[in-house]
Amino acid sequence: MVDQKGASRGKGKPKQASDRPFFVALGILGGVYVVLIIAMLLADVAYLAIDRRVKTADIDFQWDDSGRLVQHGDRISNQYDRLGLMITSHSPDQSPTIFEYLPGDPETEPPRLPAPVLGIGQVDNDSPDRILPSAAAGDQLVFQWTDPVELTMVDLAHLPAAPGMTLTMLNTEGKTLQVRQIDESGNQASLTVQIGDTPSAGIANVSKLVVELPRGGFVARLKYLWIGRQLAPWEKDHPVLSRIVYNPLTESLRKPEIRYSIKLSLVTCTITAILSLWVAIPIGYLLSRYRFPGRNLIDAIVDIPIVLPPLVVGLSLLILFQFIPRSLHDLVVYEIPAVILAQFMVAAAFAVRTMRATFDQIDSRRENVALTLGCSRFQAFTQVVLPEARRGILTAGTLAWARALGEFGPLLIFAGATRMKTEVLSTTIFLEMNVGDTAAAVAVSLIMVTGAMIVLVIARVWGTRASV
Amino acid sequence: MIHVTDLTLQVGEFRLENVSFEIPTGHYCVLMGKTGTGKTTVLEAIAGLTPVSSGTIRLGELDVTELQPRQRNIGYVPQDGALFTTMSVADHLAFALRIRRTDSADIAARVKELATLLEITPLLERTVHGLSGGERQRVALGRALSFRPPTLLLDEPLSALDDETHGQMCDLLENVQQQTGVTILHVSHREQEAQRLAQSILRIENGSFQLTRGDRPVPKRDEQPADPGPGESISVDESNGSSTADIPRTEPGN
Repeated sequence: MVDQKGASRGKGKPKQASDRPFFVALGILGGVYVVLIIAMLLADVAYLAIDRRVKTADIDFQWDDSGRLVQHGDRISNQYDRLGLMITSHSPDQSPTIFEYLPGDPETEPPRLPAPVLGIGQVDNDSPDRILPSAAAGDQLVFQWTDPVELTMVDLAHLPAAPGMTLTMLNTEGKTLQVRQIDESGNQASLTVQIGDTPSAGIANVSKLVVELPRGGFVARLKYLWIGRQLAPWEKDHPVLSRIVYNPLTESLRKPEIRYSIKLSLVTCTITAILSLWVAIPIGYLLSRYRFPGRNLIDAIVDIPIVLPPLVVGLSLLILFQFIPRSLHDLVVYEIPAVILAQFMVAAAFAVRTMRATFDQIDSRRENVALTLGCSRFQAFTQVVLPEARRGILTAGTLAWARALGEFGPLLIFAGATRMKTEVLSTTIFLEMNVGDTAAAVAVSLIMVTGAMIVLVIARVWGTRASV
Repeated sequence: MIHVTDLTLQVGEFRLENVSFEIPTGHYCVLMGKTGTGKTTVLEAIAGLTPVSSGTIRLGELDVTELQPRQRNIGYVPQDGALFTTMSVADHLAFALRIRRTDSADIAARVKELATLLEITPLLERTVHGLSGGERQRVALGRALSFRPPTLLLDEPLSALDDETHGQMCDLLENVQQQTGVTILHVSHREQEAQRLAQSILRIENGSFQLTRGDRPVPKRDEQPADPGPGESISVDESNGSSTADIPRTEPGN
């Protein structure tokens, strides 16, 4: 009996096990996100605090022999402040003067052209902005298109007093579609010729425009519409099929920039979703299960990215990276990592909320039972809690993915909108709208909708299968 | 033996002070008390799930006060079972053994044995969705017994059952105790259960604990547990002489 007891004491007393490593690991995983949020906000404050110093700029002025300002850089010490620009000179003889750079003499120079124009002649060697009119009268300017266009407008400039011009429009077979005689004279220096009945409609199928110009006339502008590609012979016979194969959507999918942005969007959103879960699961679990000092504070902090205007998130990240070593800064800012980081900052907050709610719904007694059955905290977490949280994890991942896909403001500021580099789908829409290509923007929107739907359906199907 | 000395517990606003009692090895003890008197809290403290402010808890000779739940070797059945929703019934019975990295053949044998004992063999492949109240309790009981703990804590295991199932479960618990020789602490608020099952009754009234003899006879001193396994004994209770020898010592894997 005594021996048995001794044996049981000596060997039987288990060492006190600790769950501390598990909690520390969770804390570190989740803490990264919390620290990032705090750092981002502190950086803004720090930036403004530091930026109140006096700025210095160096401005260097150079003159040519005739006293014209040809270059100014930033070499001479000067002081800028918010009150304006003050310039002092080193030389006691010459007081500082600012010249406007003008090629040629303003007295003899004819009025400069408001916009680049096209004419027949040669460039004036004395003043490169001028084009000399040709010597012969009745010269022709010929415009030719490989694919027929719909010509809507021709702007003429620098018309002489008696114009007498002819515009001839021809189709692909060389047949004349329309001839316009322009005799409207007067003192007008420029004339807008509307080809069709309304400003937006013109004459279709024009493949050649011949402009007969009198001496001194220029063409300032041409306006025309075209479908952007050459029709294949079969398309003329099957217009519906042609429309199915060639529409803004397929057109967009053919563009390398848009293909790149689709690829980048898919990759960055997926990485963002994984990273978001990576921090959301530990934070959600800790917030849901454990009371620790500062818990309420952290609970509030992880909500900040949700309430913060997205643009502010982007700007704050940009400012935060001002305080980071240059090499790391250059690796991230305006590069792909910036895309992921900007998406992550917002998406993770939503994932954290979802995971928190998920863990709140899972009865903590199940973990307790697992603990009594011999699990460490880590085992209880991986073997009981995580399987039960599977649906919540899927939801959080999907939500983070979708959030990341729609992220735009922070990306524009923090990652830029460089084509083939940091352009994701939302940026594409912005860029296409900027150049006025609404159809392409809508097409990209449709691609995004489709992508989001596919992810939603996959997550749903997967989630249902997992729970059965 | 469950030996609690001067135990003080604090959970939020709720406080229990200077709890002391001793449940002899192999006894079926029913813990009685009104709602809100801290029955579940005491149970959780013994299982290691509620922190202890002061005092000691000993299981046999082993002071477990500072130990993690997994080191205490206690079978615990919480109220309504708290089954794992992602696992099948067989998974539940095998869970504790898998955590201990037991040989899979041994696990299969043990699952079969438990299923027979608890009469849930037809349910083994089912998930826990759609199990009846009685079935859930059997699964939870099987899960708690699977690693042959010398001590079993039951938190109102019969509260949500209809009369017929209630009777069956009482028979089952009695049967389990006789076959395994496990020390059971059973929380209940029904006198009927205490009369039916208890060998000793622990009553909480106004924060004080009183142990009285129950109606059911205590097994004889020399009676051996019917479910012995290989292994080293962890405790021999000399105070009343009944033995918990040959209860396997299964350390949880980490």
